[in-house]
Amino acid sequence: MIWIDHDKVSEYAATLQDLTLPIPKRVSSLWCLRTVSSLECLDALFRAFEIEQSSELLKHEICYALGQMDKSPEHIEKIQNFLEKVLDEDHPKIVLHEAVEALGNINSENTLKLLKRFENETSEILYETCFLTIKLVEWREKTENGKTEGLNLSKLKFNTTNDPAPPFNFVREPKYKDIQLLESIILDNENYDLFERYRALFTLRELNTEEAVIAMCQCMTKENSKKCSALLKHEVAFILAQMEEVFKVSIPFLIDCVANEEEAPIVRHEVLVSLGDMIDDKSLLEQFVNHPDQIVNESCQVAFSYIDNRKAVQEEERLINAQ
Amino acid sequence: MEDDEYQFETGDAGSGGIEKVSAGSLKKGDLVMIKGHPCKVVSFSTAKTGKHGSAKAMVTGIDIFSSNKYECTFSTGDNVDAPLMKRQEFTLINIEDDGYVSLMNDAGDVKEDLKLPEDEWLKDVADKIREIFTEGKKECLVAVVSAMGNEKIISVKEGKDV
Repeated sequence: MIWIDHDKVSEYAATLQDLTLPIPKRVSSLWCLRTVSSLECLDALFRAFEIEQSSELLKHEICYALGQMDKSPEHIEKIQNFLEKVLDEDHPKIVLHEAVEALGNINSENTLKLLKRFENETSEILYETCFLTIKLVEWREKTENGKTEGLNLSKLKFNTTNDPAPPFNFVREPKYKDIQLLESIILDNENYDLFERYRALFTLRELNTEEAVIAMCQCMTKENSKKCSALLKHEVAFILAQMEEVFKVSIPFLIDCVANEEEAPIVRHEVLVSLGDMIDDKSLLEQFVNHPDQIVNESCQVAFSYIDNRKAVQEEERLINAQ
Repeated sequence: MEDDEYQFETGDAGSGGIEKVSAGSLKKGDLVMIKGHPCKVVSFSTAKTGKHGSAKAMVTGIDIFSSNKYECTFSTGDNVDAPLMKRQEFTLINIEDDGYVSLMNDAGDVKEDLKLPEDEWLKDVADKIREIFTEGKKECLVAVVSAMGNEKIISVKEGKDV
């Protein structure tokens, strides 16, 4: 299952849709389908979403994956129709959050209209997600997708994901190379709006240094927890796992964060799955595998599977490259 | 973030050179250097072990000159070496008993230092060349590639009526 075979879409679809199989196996199939990204894969994701009974983790990861599968106008139309339907239904907040973000990614003309539903939203996660999505749609329009700021998003160092905010152009405006300034923007919930704070965050990712990682991690500490929302923290956790060359220094921060029983489930989830892509030692997460919160224990199981997958691939790589 | 910071390196354009290609965009039939050998990709698979991080690509290729099989892995985000190939088309004039062929280019120059391919993976090409040549109804046009100082007949097609 680790090596993705483009001829096995129906197999991956069956695994993803089999409610009796363990969640990590199904999530693995989900990433395989996301990688293949054919129209057939989209249908498999839609179906899996519809039949899933209990796993918020699986449902929101499906929405996340859809927001990254905008391969063609035909893909976009299908994804848009599906997400519009999801946003018209009742789903857990984390699922709706991911659906809104995904819709914003594929730049639907209807996005702003659809978000009216959440105008009086009281859930912080959803309110903030809608705020960011509206800001992103407006930014793309105002700057011609970055052009007037001299940004070419497809040429960024990290260009493999659709993200909720662009970085600042630190080549044109060198002050944004200053990690201390960026850190102060991220932590300042009074003078900067969340979109600007996200932009500072994505600028740090683009800088891609250990200092940038440490600056991002300040969002995760207990002393800054009042200034940093759950949504912001979960985004930090996500981004850190992408920064393969430099992320090691963030591991202690993430482990502290996930151990905090008061931390929001969306944060603990994202931290756990990110750690799965970062650490080799499962015992560091052992305490979460039977956690009473379903999304926490499922995230832990998924993290374990990432660790196992990575070890298996590394072993295969070692054999192949030694020949 | 500006264009010039993200330019790919390119090798020299002459035959024997290499160019950089993105490992993630490789597909069957492409050329890539595997462990120092110019190979044609015969199988390509990716592995994504988790939610983040670059996928790994496992590539199997056949050395276009020696026919040896090689395997290696890349990160799909890597830029990897691909042999720069020079491709020329010739008209087949004759096949000798020992497998050597006479080829002629557009300028009328004759080339007589190549054999029909004997490799298993090019057996179809060799058979087709013999077929077109024996029938004698159409011109037999063969493509010769050269890379890293080697040359080989790699494909064939029918030309005009003779």
